[in-house]
Amino acid sequence: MDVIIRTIAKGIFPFIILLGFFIIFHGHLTPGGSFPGGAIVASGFALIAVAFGIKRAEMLVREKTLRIMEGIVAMIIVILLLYESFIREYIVSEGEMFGFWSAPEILSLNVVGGIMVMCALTLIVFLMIKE
Amino acid sequence: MILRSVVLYLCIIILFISIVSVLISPVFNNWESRDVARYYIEEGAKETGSANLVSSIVWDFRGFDTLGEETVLFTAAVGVFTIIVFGLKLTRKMG
Repeated sequence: MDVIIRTIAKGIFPFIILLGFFIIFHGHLTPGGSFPGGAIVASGFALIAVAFGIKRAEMLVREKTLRIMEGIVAMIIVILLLYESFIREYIVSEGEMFGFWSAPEILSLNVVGGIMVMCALTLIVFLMIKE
Repeated sequence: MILRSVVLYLCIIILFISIVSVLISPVFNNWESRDVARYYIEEGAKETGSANLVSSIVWDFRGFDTLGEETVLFTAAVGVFTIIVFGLKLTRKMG
């Protein structure tokens, strides 16, 4: 692509990833959560793949890694959600309200779901660009 | 034949009227009796510890629904992977 697009993509990529992970990790406090955060992180990888080509993007994260990670994360999310839906009665929350550790279960589910959304969308974009 | 169609239309009209009358009846429009929605708002933050009520509903009260949502996403990724990797190989082999 153009040198302007490449320079801007190189400069803005870490901030896109940072924003996405901020939204994922603060899903229980601020608007957002796993789906928007994962989509933002995936859009950062898609930006790199469009600007620099798929080979440079696969230096960051390979397609095989995404595949394996998505399978593992899907298994974890099924176990966590089934546990949360059927076994656990209610959460005894540890931290104070509005704090970062106020909802550890929702925090962990947000992180796992965000990684899964990120893997799925990035995998789809990479596969579409490859073919 | 005419009698048959008249009876059919009558049945459809009666069915429609009964459905509408059930939907607008005060049994289903009694806001005081919606205990589940009221419980989510009043006790959701206290019980899950999450200040974001949407997050507490999506991941906790309706966790099984979210499981299906994640399954849809996973199926989409697997479907794209299957079509692109195996489908193109198959068409190249055939054509």
